[in-house]
Amino acid sequence: MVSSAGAAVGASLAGARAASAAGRPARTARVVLVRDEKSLGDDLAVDTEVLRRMVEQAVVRLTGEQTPQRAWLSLFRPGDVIGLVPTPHLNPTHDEVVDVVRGSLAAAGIAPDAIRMANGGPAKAEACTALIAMPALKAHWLTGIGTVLKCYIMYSGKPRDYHVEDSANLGRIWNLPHVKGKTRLVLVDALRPLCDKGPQPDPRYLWPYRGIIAGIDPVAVEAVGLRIIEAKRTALNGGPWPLSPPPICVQAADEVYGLGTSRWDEITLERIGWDKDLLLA
Amino acid sequence: MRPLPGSVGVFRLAGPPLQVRASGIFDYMNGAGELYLGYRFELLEAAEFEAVGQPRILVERYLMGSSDDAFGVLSTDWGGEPVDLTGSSRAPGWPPRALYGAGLLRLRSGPIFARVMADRETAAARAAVLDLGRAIVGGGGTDAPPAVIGALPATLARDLALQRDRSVFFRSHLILNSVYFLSHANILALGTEAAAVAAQYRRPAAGSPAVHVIVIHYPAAETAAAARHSFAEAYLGVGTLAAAGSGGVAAARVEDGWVGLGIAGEFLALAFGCGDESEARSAVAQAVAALAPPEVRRE
Repeated sequence: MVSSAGAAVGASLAGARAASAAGRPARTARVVLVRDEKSLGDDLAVDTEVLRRMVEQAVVRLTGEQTPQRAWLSLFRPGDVIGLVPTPHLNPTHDEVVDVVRGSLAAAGIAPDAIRMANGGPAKAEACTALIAMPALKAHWLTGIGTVLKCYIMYSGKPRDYHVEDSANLGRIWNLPHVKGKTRLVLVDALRPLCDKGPQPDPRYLWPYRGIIAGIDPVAVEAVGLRIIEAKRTALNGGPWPLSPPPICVQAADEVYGLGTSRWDEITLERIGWDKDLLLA
Repeated sequence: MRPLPGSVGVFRLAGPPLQVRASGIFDYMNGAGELYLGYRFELLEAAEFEAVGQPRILVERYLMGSSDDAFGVLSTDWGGEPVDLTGSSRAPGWPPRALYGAGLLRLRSGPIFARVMADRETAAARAAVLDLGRAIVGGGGTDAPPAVIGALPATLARDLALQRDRSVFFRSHLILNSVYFLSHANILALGTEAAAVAAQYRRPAAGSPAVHVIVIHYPAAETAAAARHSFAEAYLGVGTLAAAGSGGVAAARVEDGWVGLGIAGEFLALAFGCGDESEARSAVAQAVAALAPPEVRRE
């Protein structure tokens, strides 16, 4: 009996020289999800003070430090040039999330000229010694999910190559010399995610989740975001509504590129704050 | 394209429209551009409307390769409230020309596909969005759906009924994958010269699984034959075709049911998720019979 779409997915991973899943070492990852009902008003305006508390609570809980200042300083080395990498358009990262991160870094004593926007081609990553990936949570019609792993697509220099069968190879970008090892924090804007038709916005599939997802392991953070999207789709559809094409980039980032874990049993998820419609069992 | 009104309701045009051609669509919308290129996109005109205390309204008018292509973009999602933009007192028929939901209006008018979207839905924004839709349509007539859509059989054997709101016209394998994933590779040799439909059929019983039927009209019989071979090799195993012969119906069991594969000249038909071999064979035979002209079926 021939396997159908499953074989197609497997073939894509094999095409990327997949290591044996059985030989992969066990991994663990912590991810923090903070939600606050007051972060977005009914008019979808962001309450920046509430957002600041959410972001700082996330980094404190993630790092285990006592204060936001210590938390930020624990993530960076003296002299680091820190690049912020938000989603620039089409369901972009909220400007307020970027502003809050900038402000919080500055309050920790990091010089403003050490913080720069790092969207763009490879040269933007080359100019930084540290990166904060700050994508907005969204599904993507070409890659299944278009959030964490896709955040650095412009650093490849050939973004269109990663929209077709090479979407399995998005993780490869994170191992490029000018990117590898620089990501100190992944902070996902889940204030108003998009669960279908991404990246082009469609208000039918946008909803006010009012969350921030933080982690060091980009694959684990992506896996949490993916669960939220999948659960929302199921809730909207009244039954399973799988992403098509399937988000093979997540498994590949784990098993081929060794960027982190996509396995739910290896992820410790700490949930803080508002729990209505959490979508995570 | 005809100019948009300078104002609608309390909203004013915020500046001159932006024009984007195919070569620049990725700069405008990154990977979303592949959707429109898959339907032979030629030109986009984007404009914004604004009003104090109201959400922004973005109007995007896409000039596609043909009215079939504009239909295709709309068909990728039949969700939303059908709306009549022509001023007729009759309820919109099927297939709808315009769909509205949550502040987003999507419509087709000749070769134009348009999105009119308010950042969030207010009463004034909704009214303005619909008025802008009327301005775009401009009282024009309704275009017939693509031939492959219109020719789909309403029923297949064993009470399988066409789910018309799950019928998608497409040309590109990327769009097929967003509807029914087969492979990241283009194993059906799809491209802008093909005209295809992906449709769902279901039995009346609640929760009955769907049978997915794909019919593709290629520009030449040789292309259809090559696609048949490429698909069979990638998805079914080459031996499946050997048993069927060069023009016969082939069937094979896969992970999620039986797959049927039929060909007649320029037409290729596939059926997925069939309950057994007989259903798979009859589904593709019926699809080919409905779409391919008699003289082609006799070849």
